[in-house]
Amino acid sequence: MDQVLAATATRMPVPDSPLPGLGTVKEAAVTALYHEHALSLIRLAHIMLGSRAGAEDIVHDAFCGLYRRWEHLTDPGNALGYVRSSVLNGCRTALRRSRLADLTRSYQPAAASAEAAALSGEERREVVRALRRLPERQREVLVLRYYLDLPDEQIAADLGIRPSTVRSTRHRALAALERLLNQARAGETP
Amino acid sequence: MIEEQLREALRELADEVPASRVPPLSLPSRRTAGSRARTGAGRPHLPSSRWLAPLAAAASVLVIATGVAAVAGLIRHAGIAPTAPTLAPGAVPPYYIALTTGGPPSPDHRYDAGIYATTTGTLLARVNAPGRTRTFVGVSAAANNLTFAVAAENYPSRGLPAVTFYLVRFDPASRSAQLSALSRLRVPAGASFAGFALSPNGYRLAVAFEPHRGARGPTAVLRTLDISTGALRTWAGSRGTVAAAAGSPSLGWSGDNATLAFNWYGSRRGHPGTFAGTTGVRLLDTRRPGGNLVAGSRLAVRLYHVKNPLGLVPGDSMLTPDGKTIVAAVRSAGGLTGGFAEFSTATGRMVRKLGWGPTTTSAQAGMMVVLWSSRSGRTLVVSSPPGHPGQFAIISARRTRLLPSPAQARLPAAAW
Repeated sequence: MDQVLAATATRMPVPDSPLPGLGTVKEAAVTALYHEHALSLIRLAHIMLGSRAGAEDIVHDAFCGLYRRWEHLTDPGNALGYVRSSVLNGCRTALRRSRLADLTRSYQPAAASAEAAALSGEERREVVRALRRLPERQREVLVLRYYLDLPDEQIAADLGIRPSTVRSTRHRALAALERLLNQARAGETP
Repeated sequence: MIEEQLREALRELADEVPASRVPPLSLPSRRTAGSRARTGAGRPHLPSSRWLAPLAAAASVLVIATGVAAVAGLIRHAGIAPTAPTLAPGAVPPYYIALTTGGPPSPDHRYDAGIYATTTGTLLARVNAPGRTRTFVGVSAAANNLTFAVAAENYPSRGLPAVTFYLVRFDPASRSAQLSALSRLRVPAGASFAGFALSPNGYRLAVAFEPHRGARGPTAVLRTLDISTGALRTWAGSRGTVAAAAGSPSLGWSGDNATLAFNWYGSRRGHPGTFAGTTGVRLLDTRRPGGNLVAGSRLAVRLYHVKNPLGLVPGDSMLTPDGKTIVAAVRSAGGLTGGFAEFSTATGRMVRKLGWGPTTTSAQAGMMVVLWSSRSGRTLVVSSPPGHPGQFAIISARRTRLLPSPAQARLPAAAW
């Protein structure tokens, strides 16, 4: 998809002289990107926020932001990276403001999932609750790595940090996650 | 092992969003870019969470209309006073500051701040985030109820942006607010902002963050600014973090303007499976010398202790102005009931529960926050008390009374 967008971008009129077709071209490019990646990005935001509706809003807004700033992208081929960063920014901001990241918030698995596998649902709840108690940068690194399977270099680009920092953050985050899980399983109040 | 558990948990969590859940994309027209254009058909789910709060607030006005008169007894007259109000004991301050938007939900998540009347929820003064690319991300209040502080950052931003702070002085007579930068104190870019608090007298600002660091260096930094002199003071901790969740009001001053309460999560060297005994709400006397965040503070309440007699899971906490009590949002271990609990800073034990009730949604539990406390904690202002998600309320004498919420202050980021 990135290549498609890059190819589309090369055919776009120059930003300073918008032509009648500009809106159509960028709308098509953004819409295509949305169709291909919206689901995974909504899921990413849902993991970060714990709110489906909030996740949809943030992803939708990220694509609207991409649409508005399309002419200003330095590298339209990295539009997906731009949107992903916007989604993470949106999640981060929403968490700071809405306090959805409450340390102790109970994660409630979907009813269907809980009925299907009660035990694994409980384990999943523990992992997710522990994840949400991590500092935001650690949480983002873990989700980008273990949900989206992004390489360290891409995570570094998305978060604006060095790859070495991604690695050290991931190691610290995993250790912290394990510590929290062990504590929860030992019966301590998380 | 832990990586596989994490992968599985994330995959299962992600699968809660089915493919059919993806709503159609509604791009803004070129002329109206920047405004929200997504209200058409084809959005197959419940109203967005970003609309729920104003809807709830609007609905609540009907309920609250009759409640305001009762609440008024607790609240000092919110008339236009030219000087700082003198509050009766237990009286809720007449004004508060909250993050707000200028109109419809903003597509780019930028927030300004507004100063509101407690009794009516009326917007009295708007405080615009400085610059086109800035947004406010947090608010705090001094005890005089006319001085506030706001935190701001660039949006959008790649990585964690620097966070800067401003003082807001509200003039009730003119219904205007003056913004002045506190340029001496900032959270550097790349650091993880944990929280901030303005002292009751409005002369000191405390900020906590996790620094951007390599393998070595402190894991937590707490810094105070003396606003009148510009003097900075820093404490650092190396094995633990302050309030390991974004958005949590992790800091709080007592009424002496010198004692700071902070949530500390300590880690044990060589024992990765447990928290250190240092974990809990700690009190730091900023008048004492030294720069060690843990050694220089004392553990007041061990909220996360295994022998918590009621099995409560605590959330946000606040130190009461008299310094004797920690008030925390809590819920039962099963998450079905919750409310607020007070803990003695002298004994660490729970003193009483307030506003207890069923908490039916995780979102509600997450937004349950103590926003203000009277000197002894007898009267609280909270957000999202059990049964009333997304609303502000006064809890006093075991009674919960809802406050009118302004339609634009959709999220409970507010300070009294």
